[in-house]
Amino acid sequence: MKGQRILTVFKMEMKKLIRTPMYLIISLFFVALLVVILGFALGNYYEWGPDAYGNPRSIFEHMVPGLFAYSGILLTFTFASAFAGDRDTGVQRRMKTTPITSGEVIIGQMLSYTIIPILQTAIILITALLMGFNPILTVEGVIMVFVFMIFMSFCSVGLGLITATIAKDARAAGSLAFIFIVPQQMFGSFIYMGEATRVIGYAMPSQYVTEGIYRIFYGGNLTDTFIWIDLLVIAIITFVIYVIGVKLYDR
Amino acid sequence: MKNTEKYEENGMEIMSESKLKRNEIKFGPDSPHAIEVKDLKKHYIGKHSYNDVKAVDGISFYVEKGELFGLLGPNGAGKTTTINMLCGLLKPTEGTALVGGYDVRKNLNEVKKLISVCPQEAAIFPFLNARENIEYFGNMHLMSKEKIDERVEELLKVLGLYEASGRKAKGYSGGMKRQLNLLVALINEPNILFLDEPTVGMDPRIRRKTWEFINSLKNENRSIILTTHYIEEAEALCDRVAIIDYGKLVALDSPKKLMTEHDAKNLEEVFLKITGRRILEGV
Repeated sequence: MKGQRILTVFKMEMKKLIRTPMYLIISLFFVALLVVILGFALGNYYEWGPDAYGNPRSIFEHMVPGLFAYSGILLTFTFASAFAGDRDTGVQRRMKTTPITSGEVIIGQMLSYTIIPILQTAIILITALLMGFNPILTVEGVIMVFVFMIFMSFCSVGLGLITATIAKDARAAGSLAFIFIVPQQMFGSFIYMGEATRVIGYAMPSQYVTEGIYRIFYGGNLTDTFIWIDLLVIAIITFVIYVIGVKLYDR
Repeated sequence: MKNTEKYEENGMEIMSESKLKRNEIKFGPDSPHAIEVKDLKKHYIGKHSYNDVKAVDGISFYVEKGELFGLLGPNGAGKTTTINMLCGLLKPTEGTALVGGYDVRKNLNEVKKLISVCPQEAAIFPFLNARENIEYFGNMHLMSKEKIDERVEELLKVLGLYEASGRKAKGYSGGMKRQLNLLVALINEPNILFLDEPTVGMDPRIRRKTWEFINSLKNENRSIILTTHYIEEAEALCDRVAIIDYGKLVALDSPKKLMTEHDAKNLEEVFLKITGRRILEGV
């Protein structure tokens, strides 16, 4: 592992994001816009009852933890399209003729995708607070939310890597990414479909992020063991996804 | 024609200089040659036997250190497959390939430190400018920042991309992208350089300029494998050429010797005689 190569991949990925405004806008502002819309539409409806800790919450507030996870899920699309795009131009084949290893490529990309969730989380949190979101805010809690979001983005990058290696080109990768996005969106993020679908949600990485953030914001207690279990599960899922992704990439 | 003669004259001068320098080149553990290929095969097995493809079918050749070696052949002859095996992108089905003395199957990491590839397509990042593209690949080879900066300056000037070096590559013309594609391959000062149709899509003026540049690389003691569809390009630049057809090596010698042997006016005639005859004979 050479830091110079990892840093080069990291910088290139950042430039790609900054210079490809469509990816940046989708990554940073799409969910924030959704927060605004849902805040206006559902901020005064309380039909979903109180939160798990007995405090009254609007439907919008119930949705906010899932919206954080959803913003991370969308990175699958961003990454898969961008990565497959590099393959279409032949750059990836060219890179394979240089001494860089798959591990260095993947780590460089993972690092670049820690910046986006940090920005995403900050933008969504500020927007949600402005729209009436009223969580238990502590410094440690907010830091923990950022940690969850970084893991969510790693996981999505891993899924994007799998998608890109399976897809024939960038366009196909963008479409194929929705195989991973839609189920997570429906069963493991902000859409509540009743208790029956909760079981399905546990097959989705995003469910653990949604639940973890929910417990942090509404329980407000980081000694809650379930928060750490959620974090452990998402870490394990991410690791497994990366192993599969790197194997496919090498092939 | 006059231009070709001029290149031939230059080629003779350069050859004599580079012959002197070849003795100074030392890389790889035990091979006396830059590249040694023995009975190399790449077969793709289909679901049915009639779908099997023998992309490369037992070719053997060597490339001397400091030599510019041409690989010619019709479309689908196996040129790119051969190059892809030599630079580690494809695993050979059978046979041996030593690059810089290292076996591509066993010591690919060592091979990658010695080589650079200019692929057929313009494999560059469209959202990076020329300077950033070249720097990126310099970093892949762990070059120091000072060395990269120095080399980027040199390279951008040599093919006239300096003026446009701050613009994103996606705005370049096809010819400029091809030139950048070539320059990227030179950042690490490779001992062995693979040029896979480097001048495709260039206008005649830029192509001539690129020929001069490729010719000058011989002076820098690099061993170069060049594949091209422009036979006059191979005739002007290459010390020796190999003609591949249907995955097999059908001719190998210096352009002059091949022309004499086949009683031809130029290499194109030799090429057509060899590959055309095979087509007519249905080989």
